Order: sequence, then C-alpha cells, then structure tokens
Amino acid sequence: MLLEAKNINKQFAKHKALDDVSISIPENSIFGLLGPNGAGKTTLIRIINQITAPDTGEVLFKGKPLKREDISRIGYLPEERGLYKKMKVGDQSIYLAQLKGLSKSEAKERLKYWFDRMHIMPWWDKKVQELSKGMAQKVQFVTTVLHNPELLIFDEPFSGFDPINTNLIKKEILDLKAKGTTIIFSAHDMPSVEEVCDHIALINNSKVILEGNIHSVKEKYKENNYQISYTGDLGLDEPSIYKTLHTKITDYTTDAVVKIVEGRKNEMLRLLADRVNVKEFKEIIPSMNEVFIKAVEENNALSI
Amino acid sequence: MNKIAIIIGREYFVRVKQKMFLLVTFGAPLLFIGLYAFFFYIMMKEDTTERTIAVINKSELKKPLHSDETTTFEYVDKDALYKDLLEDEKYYAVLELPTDIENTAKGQLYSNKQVPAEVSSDMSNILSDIIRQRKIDKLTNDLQIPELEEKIEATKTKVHLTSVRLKDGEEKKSSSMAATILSVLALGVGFMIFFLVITYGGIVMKGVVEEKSNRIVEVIVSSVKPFQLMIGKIVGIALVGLTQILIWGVLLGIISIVSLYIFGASEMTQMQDMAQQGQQMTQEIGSDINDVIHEAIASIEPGMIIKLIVVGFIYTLLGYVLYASFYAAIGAAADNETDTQQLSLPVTIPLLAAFYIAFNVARNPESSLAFWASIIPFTSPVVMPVRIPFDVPWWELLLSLAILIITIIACIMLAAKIYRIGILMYGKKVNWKELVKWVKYKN
Repeated sequence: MLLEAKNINKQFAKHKALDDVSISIPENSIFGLLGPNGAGKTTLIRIINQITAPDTGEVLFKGKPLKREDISRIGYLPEERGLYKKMKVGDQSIYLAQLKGLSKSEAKERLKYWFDRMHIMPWWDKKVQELSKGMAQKVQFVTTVLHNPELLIFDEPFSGFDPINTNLIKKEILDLKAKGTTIIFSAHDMPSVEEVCDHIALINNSKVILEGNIHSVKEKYKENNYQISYTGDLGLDEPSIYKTLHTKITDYTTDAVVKIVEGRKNEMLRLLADRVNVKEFKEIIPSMNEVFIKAVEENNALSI
Repeated sequence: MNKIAIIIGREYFVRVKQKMFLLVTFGAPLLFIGLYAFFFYIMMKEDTTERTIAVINKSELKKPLHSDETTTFEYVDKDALYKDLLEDEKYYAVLELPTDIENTAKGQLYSNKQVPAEVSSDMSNILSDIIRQRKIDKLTNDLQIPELEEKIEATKTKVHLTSVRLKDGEEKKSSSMAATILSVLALGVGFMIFFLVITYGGIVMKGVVEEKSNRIVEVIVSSVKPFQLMIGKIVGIALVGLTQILIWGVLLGIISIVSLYIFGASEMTQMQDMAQQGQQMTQEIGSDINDVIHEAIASIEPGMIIKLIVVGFIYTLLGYVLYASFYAAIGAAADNETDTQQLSLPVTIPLLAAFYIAFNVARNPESSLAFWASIIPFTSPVVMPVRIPFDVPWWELLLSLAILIITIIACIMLAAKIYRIGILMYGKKVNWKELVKWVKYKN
C-alpha cells in the first residue's frame, strides 16, 4: 500500500466531516474517491495533503506515518484552483515548483519539457489573465506533476474542462500511472471514473460506504439480471428459475431482460436451449453510475 | 525557512516591478517638490499690476507718496469727493489724508475692489515714517537735544531669554523654539508611522484576498504551511515598504542638496531684497526670528534626532507587523474586498485613535494619556515616537517595546489560526463572532 488512512475522524464545530474513515490506496493504482457533494472527500484530501490535521487517526505513507517532508512527494490539484492573474506563466510555474523543493534551473528544464509536450511554450511570457480557461488548466496540470510526485491527487480534475482537454489530461494521467505514479482521483463524472480507476472508495455522510477494486464493487451490486436475445417462444416465466423484467419483440428476435434466481443460471441455460434459439446471453453488470446512486440511496435510507 | 525566502522573494519582486509602485515611489517626491516650487513661486512673484491711486491731500504733508513703476500717485484737488473720483475707471483707489493726520495717524483708503494688504501697508509704512520723522524734527527743534533720533532708537529694548537645562549635571542650552521644532518633527514621524502601517497593512490584506479569490491559495498551502505563506507575505511587503522609504530618503537627500546649490543663492538674494524694501520694523522682527531659529536649531542635539529616527524606525516595523497580522487574518476571512471593509473597521479604529492621540501628546507630552497611549500596544507604535523629544524615561520605552513585542507574538499566533482556516473557507459570510470560534479550533 502506498497510502493508508486509518480511522480518521474530523469534526468542524457541529458538523462531523469524517467519521472513522479508513482507506488503502495500492501502489501504482488509480484510486477513485467518490461521493456526493459535502460527503467529506475534500476534507480527506486536505488531511492527506497535511493542509488540515485529523482529530484522531493517522495517515501512513509507504507504511510510515506521513511527515511534513513527504509533501514534496505529493502533487495536488485542488478543486478550488487558480493562478496569480498578474504573474507571467513561466515565472509563476517556476515559483510553484520552487515551493515544492525544486531548484530554479531544474524547474526551468522540466517546465520546458512539459510546456513543449502540452504545446503551451508560446505562453511562457504571457500573464495568466491573458490566457483562456483551458490554457490555464493545462498550466495548472503541469505545475501539479512537475516535481515527479509518487502520489498525485486530483480533486475534480475535469470540472470546467472541454472534451478535448479532458481527453488530453486523461491520457496524461494514464501515462503517469504507466510510469509508476499512484493517483487519487476524485470526480463526479462516473464514466471517467470507470475509464481510469482501478480502485474506488465511496464516501457518503462522512463515512466510507463502499471500497475496493472497481470490478469487485460492480460485482457486488449486480442483481443477476441478464440480457437475452432469442427467436422462438420461451413461454411463461418459471418463478423458481427466472422472472422477465422487460421484453421487446422485434421482427427477427425477442430481446428480454430477465432476473435469474440465485444459483439457477445453469437451469436457465438448459431451459433456453430446450425452448428457443439463443442469439445472445449476457450478464448485466451495473455501471459505476448505477452503483453510485444505489449505494448512496441505500445508505441514506439506512441513516434515516 | 528556505520556502519562506522563496515566498518573500515573490511578494517583493512582484510588487516592486509594478508600475504603480514606481509611480508612487518616484512620483510622490516629485509632486511634493512641484507643489513646494509652486507655492514658492506664488509667494515670491512680484506684484506687477499697474495702479493709479488718487490722493486727496488735506494735510500739511507735501506730496508724501512717490510713484514707482507699478503705482502712480496723482494728487487731485483737495475738495474733490472720493465717490466722484472712483467713478472714473482710471483710479484704482482714492487715498484721503485728513488735515489732522499728524495727530490722529488716521487716513482713509476708498476703492471699489479689495486693495491687497501689501499695497495698503506699503503706503501706511511710508506715511508713518514721514510723520515720525516730522515729530522727531519738531522735538529736536523744541527741546534742542542733539542726536535725539539715535537716543530714542537706543531706548528700544528686547530681552532674550536663553533657557538652560540641567541634565545629568551638564548645562544644556535649549529654547522653546527647539522644543517646538522637535515636537513637529516627532509628530511628523508619528504621522509617517500611521500612514505606513495603514497603507502597507492594507497591501497585506489585499494580497491575501487576492490569493483567496484567485483560488491559488490551496495550491500553495499544499506545498508550504499557511503560517509560512502568511509570514512570507508580511515580510516581503515590509521589504517593499523599506525599499520605498529608502528611495524616498535618497531622493529627498539628493533633491535638497541640489536645490540648495541651484535655488539657494537666488532665494537668499530675494529674501535680502525683500528685507531691504521692507521696513526697519519688519527687518528687525525678521532677524529676530532668524536668530531664534538658528539658536533653536543649534540647541537641538543631533543625538535626539538620531534617537527619534531609530525609535521611529523600530516602532514603524513593529507597528506594521502587529497590524499586518490583523489585516492578513481579515483578508483570509473575507471572500472579496468589499467584505474586508466591514471586518477591518475594528482594526482601523485604534490606529485612527492613536493618530489623534498623537496630536494631543505633542502638545501635552507629560499627560497620563500620553503615558498610557504609549504603553498600550495598539496605539504605542504611533504615540511613543511623538513623546521621544520630551525625554521619555528608558524604563517606559523598554516597557512599551516589551509589551508591544509580546502582543505581536500573541497576535501573530491568533492571526495564523484565523488565516489557516479562513483561506480555505469560501462562500461563508464571516463576522467577528465566527472569527473567535476559529481561534478556538484546534489545528
């Protein structure tokens, strides 16, 4: 594990922001930190960045308690992010890199590489206020990753990005992972989570309600629903084996969604083989979006 | 430590490179000199308006006033009426000298417009002289006393009091003028401190609000502690202020040396001209004042000036740090500049109070108000330097400094707490009650 947060509690006045939160982030993974607005994600991220301290609990970085010096091994792109408007892009990037512990010459060299890569070299001497929002976002991304951190934390990285920049940054994130970086990724946009994340933790009402490998999480939320496609007549539902949820008859085939009783998949297959000509038989795995909504709704129902 | 240096560097260079900084730093002294030169010009400008003054001379004086380049005196029929004469555009004014002017020493000057004081006083001076001379001549004639004029002159007496203070057994010459000059200087220093603290404190506040509203602050505090950012900002901006003061000092030095060379000579001759043109009386007063000022300046101890500058400098820095920490906390708590105005009022009030107390203290340096205001840390940075010329006991100075420094440490710690929470808090309307709550938060 690259990073472990253990039993983190954080109280703000009357509001409990984090309630006994524990997460483990495997090395070289992309870890999706999910949850509705106000669930406590940003607080947890700020604790990992040592911007705020937890009331109780501890954060381990490579098995050792997180220290102040570890800050240079972490790169953080906050949700509320910006740049000095009146400062030149180049100067500003060097400044932010120096604060992360890079020397001026080292920072310049690396910035050149990244600015070329992102095609933003011509903006070096421009003031930030002259840049468009998309351009500024590229600069922010570069300054976040410049010091080659072992852990990168992106809080809502795509909010406000256009689709082209979103894709570009997504590619860069996957590229960074390929180079061995571990990434914490907080987002609302579930398709991108599904696309890039290996692990997720879902926080709702200050608690972790779901955690694990993205496939196992989805497995957990599947409902034994299957998509089947066939020709012929299947006849009436066999309640001991399956129930039809939905049928659509076209000119050639019948498309149906059925719920198969737990452990009776083979009987179902036999039944299908006996009665109809099967074209397609596929288990329906819920999307992360569905998992998210279902998990949060279930959890909310429990707490009421 | 290294990171604080990087922050200080940014805060400093970004501001020093700004056009506004250059404009104010180099423009303010120029503006000051321009204004000074303008007033000097106005004062020194000779009156070149040509005027014709009709004189209705009913007295025995024989054409006492003589025309010069600008003023023409026309002696008209002594039965003429001033009203008739004034209807004539030609006459600027009508001077009527009554028959008994030698006894009453009273005449009338009629005009449509207000006559400049200079013009009427010139005439009255000349008339007074003539009448005085006639009286002396008459007396000399009547009493047969030789050199009466010189004897009368010799009776004029003016007693000078040179005050000598005993200090540590040594005699020290001083004059009340010296005290006045010193207290004006000290008040100047006090005002300067007030001005610098409020200006540069405001710059700190603006800087914090800017970082917050730019949304860059969270990026920065993921690399450095909020405390480091706050201290770096306060120190960086202090260095900007020091640079400005240094430039002003050097510029004023250069300008005063240059102006002494260029304008010094001509100014002197003009002054002398004026003195010669003027009356014996004014000349005497003039030289008296000059003497007193020279004496006063001579009696100011250079040590006192240095002490004033050193103490003023220390209090400027400490006062700035104290108030800058408040302003930083307020900037962090506010979402935008409009919010800061409301929140900063309770901080500006003691500073303003100190400014007004300073005026009182300059006149009344031994009062208990002076004592307390120079001990209480929220007013002492402005008030204590004003007291310096009046021999503040060392223990009072040290006590004031000690209390100020302790307060600064406590206030920076409080400000840092508010700052740390405030910079990451968006969209919340913060009041003072809320700030107190933040101070109570742990970490």
